[in-house]
Order: sequence, then C-alpha cells, then structure tokens
Amino acid sequence: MDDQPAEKRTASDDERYEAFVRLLVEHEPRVRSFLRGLLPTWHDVEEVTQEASLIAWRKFDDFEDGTSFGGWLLTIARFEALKHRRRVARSPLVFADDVWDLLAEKARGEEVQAIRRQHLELCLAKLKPSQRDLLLNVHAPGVVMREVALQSGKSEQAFYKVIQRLRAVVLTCVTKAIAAENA
Amino acid sequence: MPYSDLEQRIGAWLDGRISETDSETLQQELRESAEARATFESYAQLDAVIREVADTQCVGAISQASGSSVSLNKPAKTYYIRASLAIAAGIIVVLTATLYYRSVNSGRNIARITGLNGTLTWIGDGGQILQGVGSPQASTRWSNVLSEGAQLPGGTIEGTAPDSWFELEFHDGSTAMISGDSILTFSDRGQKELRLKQGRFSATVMPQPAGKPMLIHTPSAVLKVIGTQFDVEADPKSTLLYVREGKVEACRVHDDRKVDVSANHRVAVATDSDMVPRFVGPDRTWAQTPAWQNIATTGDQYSIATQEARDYDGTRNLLLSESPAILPAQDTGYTIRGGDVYEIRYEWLDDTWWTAQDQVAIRLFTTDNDLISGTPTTFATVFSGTLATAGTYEAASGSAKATATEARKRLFVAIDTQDGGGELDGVARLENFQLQVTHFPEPGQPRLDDFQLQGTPFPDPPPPPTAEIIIGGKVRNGDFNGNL
Repeated sequence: MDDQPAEKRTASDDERYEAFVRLLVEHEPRVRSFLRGLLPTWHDVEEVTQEASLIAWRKFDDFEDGTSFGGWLLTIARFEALKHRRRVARSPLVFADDVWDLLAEKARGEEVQAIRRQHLELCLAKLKPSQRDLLLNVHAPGVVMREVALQSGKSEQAFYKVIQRLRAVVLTCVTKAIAAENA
Repeated sequence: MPYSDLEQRIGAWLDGRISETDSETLQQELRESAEARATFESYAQLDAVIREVADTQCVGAISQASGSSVSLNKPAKTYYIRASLAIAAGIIVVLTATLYYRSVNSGRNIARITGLNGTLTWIGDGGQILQGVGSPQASTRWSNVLSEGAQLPGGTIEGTAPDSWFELEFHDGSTAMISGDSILTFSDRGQKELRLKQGRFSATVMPQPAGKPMLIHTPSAVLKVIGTQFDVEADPKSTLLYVREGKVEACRVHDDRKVDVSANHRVAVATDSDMVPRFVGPDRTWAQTPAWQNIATTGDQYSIATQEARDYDGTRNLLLSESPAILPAQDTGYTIRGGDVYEIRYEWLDDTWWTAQDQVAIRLFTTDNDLISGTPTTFATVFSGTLATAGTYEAASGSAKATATEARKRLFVAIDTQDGGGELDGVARLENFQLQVTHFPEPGQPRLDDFQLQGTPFPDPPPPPTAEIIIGGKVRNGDFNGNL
C-alpha cells in the first residue's frame, strides 16, 4: 500500500476537515477491499466501512502526524469488523476465529498490492460486451445472484460456473496488469 | 480459463451460497495454505472493485427531455413551513462527520438549504454529534450547518423520523427534497449525482448542461434527468418513479434495461417488474368530485381532491391535509335512527410532513338545518390511530353509535385530521372509504324502515338488524375513483 505520511491538523478546522476527506477518499477503496474478505456480504462491508470512517473522523485528533493513515484506518476497520462479526448469526459464511485472524493479517499486510479500479476497467474492456455486462450486473447493488441465475435459462450451477469462469479470467488479467505496472 | 475447486469454493462464499461442508473445506484450506489465503484475498479484492464499478454503470444514452422550471409540487403553505422550522430547530440532530461520498467538493458549496424539519442526520462537512432528539441545538461552530439558508458541499442527509423532511436548492435553481425515513447523497462536480438509498425523493430539475444529466441512483435503478419534475420512492428492491413533467430515463441496474418515462406516467423498477410506464390520470378538484365537498370555511373547490399518485390499489385516492383550508365531507342522504351503529373502514397512508402523532379523524355530524352548509354538531369521532409503519398503507376501522338525540336528522360525514405534532402541514392519502350502518330495532321505538308502518312502534320482539352500505366502492364515490 502506498501510504504517504499524512498531513494532520492544520491551522483551521476547514483545512483539517479537508485533510481528513482527502485521506479518506484515497484510502476508502482499500478499506472496502480489506473488509470484503472478512465479512459475509457486501452490505456488511458498506456498513462497517461507514462506521469505521465515522470513528476515524471522531478520533482524528488522536491520529499521529507522519504515520500511515491507511494503516490506522485499516486498524479501525478491522476492529469494527470484529465487532460486526460478533453480531452476525453463525452461518457457513462466518469463518472460525482462527481463519478470520489469518485472513485479517493477510489482508492487512503492507505487501498486498491492491487491485484498483483502473486495473479492472482495463481487463473488463477485454471481455465481450455481453460477458462484461453479465459480470457487472450480478455484482450491481440490490441484485440477488440467485434470481439472475433463475432468469438466465441456465441451471443455477451452470450459471455460477459461467460467473466464476469470468472472475478467473479477469483476475488473471488484473494480476498481469499489476505485474506489468511493477516491472 | 479453468479454475480450481478452491476458486469455486471462494466464489460460492463471495456469492453467499456456500454449503456448510464446502465452508469447512474452504476454511481448512485457508488454515493450511498461505497460497490459498493469497488466492482468497485476490478474489475478495476483485469482488470489491467489481462492485464499485458495477455501482456506477447503467448510464447509457441520454433521453431527450424537455427542460422545465416548475416549482416543486407541494402544498403552498410557506407560513406553515416557517412556523415548523422554528419547532424543527429544537429537534435536529446534527451529525457533521465524515464526508463519506467520495466528495472532492470539499470546500466548494453546491447547494443551499431552503427548508427542513424533524430529526435529520447530516454526514458531510466535518463536525460531530451535537445533541440528541428533542434537545435544543447547541451553539457550536457546526450548529449552523443544518439551518435554512446554509450552504452545503456534497454529502449525505438522512431523515430519521416519519416527519423529517429536507429541501435544498442547487445553484442552478434545481430543487430536491426528501421526506420521511430517507437517505440521500448528493454531489455536483459539473454533473449532479444523487443516491437515494431508501425513502421518498422529489425534485424539480432545471435544464442541465448538455451531456451531463442529473443522475439519481437507487439500489435498483439509475434515473437520468435533463430537466423535469418527478417523485421517486426507493427501497432496497424496487424503485417507483412518477414523472410530473418532462421525461426521465429509468435504467434497471439488474439487467441494464432502459425505459423513457414521460409526463404523467409512472414506472416500477424491480427485478420482476415489466417496466412498462403507466399513465397516471390528472388530479381532480373538489368541483370535479361532487359527491365529496370541501366544507372548510376557507376551502377552495378548485384545489386538488383526488390523485392517482401513490395509489393503494391502482386507483385514485383522496388527498388529505391538516391544513384548515381542506375538510372533505359528504351529505350521506341518510336519516339517522336511534340505535344505529356506524362502521367505518378505509386504508390510509402518511405522506409529506405527516408526523408520527397525527391521525385521521372521521367525524359523524348533524347540522341545525339538515343541510351540509348548516351549523354542525359532531356526535362521534373515529380516529385512525397513529401510523404503524411510515410510508405504508394501513387499514383503519372503528364504529360509533347514534343516540335518540341524533335520530331523524340527516347524517353527514367528514374526513378530518387530528394534529399531534403541533404543525398543521401534514399530508396523508386515503383509499376505499366505507361507511356502513346497522340498525338495531328496539321494541317501542318508532320505525322508519317501512313506509307503510312509519312512525308506529316496533313490536316485541323486533325484526332482526339490517345493514346497509351508505358510502363504499362505487356507492357515493367511496373509492374516490369516480367523478361523482
């Protein structure tokens, strides 16, 4: 994660606020990605991201100049995710504590090269329009994948395989794009 | 591109469809293998970024909507608004916290607050929670953030009570308003972009710059507006759009299907909806609904009586208001008999500025000259009770009994409101009104049910009770759908 030493409080409240917003806007996508591997649904991710952002603002006075804002925000997000996880009913989607800790450590790791929007857009452009639309549509807000599967005319299992195949294609492409970027 | 069983299980987990057995297997793989954890992490990141991109798609061709600059369709009761603002100041919760909506507008104001009421949460321009509901607004550097005339950058406003509402005006004169339990995020970076997470939203949009229509995202649709007047109601699964003027393009997020919705049409956008715009009949005035009269002393017979907007069953509804200028009533043509039991049923819906304490009040009354214009005497009032769920039609019923005092007089009924929030500006809708009378003959009482025997006493035992619908369905325009 490229995380420059952050600017903190400045002379005026407006500047302080702007500094916070700038940092939040920069790091929020990373927080969502981090949380996605820890929380069962996207709704959970959005809820915890929002809560973490609010707490970060309230505690912004405690943030130390020159330290990593992204790391600080991820720490808050991880703590909030843990609290949220305790409220989620047990289900196959909720991992055991030890697995959760391993994933949190992995996702929190500074060596993780985040997939960014531009990587994805580059790779989506390489798909056929119908494939691209399908992949985006099943991930759109409010869409229940099972319902789309039922309407697709394919069996549910066949539909899920198509989606997973598209994900695999895109992930391979994105991984190559990141490697090329770092070369 | 082949993928492994591990990837299949990760996909199933991300989609929320993993079985318990596969979940156990996946967790074991994650425990044992750093490579598996790296793969899982990559797919989780990919899922997050795909969702981010998917959330901003569905913005195809722009419809050609005519520009208009019509005022927001709400009751013209400015002095009530002003009065309510004074009350509102005491119950506003100001949460000026994170600018959550990717705003690069910080420091640049894009809109001005033109009115507000009730419990609101503002997330956008820095600050903190100042006080809870009902407590006075503390004087801090943030306390002017939510007040009439205040300038705002982009951000999120959330109404957290049924009587909450918030209206803002963009610098180009376009206005937007939320009411009830609604969450709206707005920004303007050369193109106005709004997100209605839930609730009710109305807007009057001035002609927008070429190629930059106003975009309104809901969980199920994206609406594109050049310049028009419309209402939107959204929940996590569906969006209801009603266009008053101009044209709005609705795009279903689920399958990218688009439809142009013209003036006086509405469309429901949901996964299983046909997305066919349906005509909404024009409003009818009291003069066009003669079975019902507006008997308010200051009433205007040419103000709106019934509408097809926000219908209960696909038909027209009665527009109720707390305003003293509106009081729907009817001469039932029925002569009261002692011992009559009147049963009242209807469905009703809270609307703009209706508070959690307000009620519908059905009043049964007589007059001194048996004309509806006479001096009234109310002998029974049946209340709806306060709303159970904001924004949802609910059934109400009740009964009342006539006494010998009212006997032989003409029966009149008024559909009134009972204010509970201290603000006479609430609006509600009422459907399928029914008034049924059951007469219980009493031995010795003079009978009015038989022309031949009129005035003679009922025998002992008397005949069985008789029920009659005085108003209901097509009878005396009880469903408000007719033009009687």
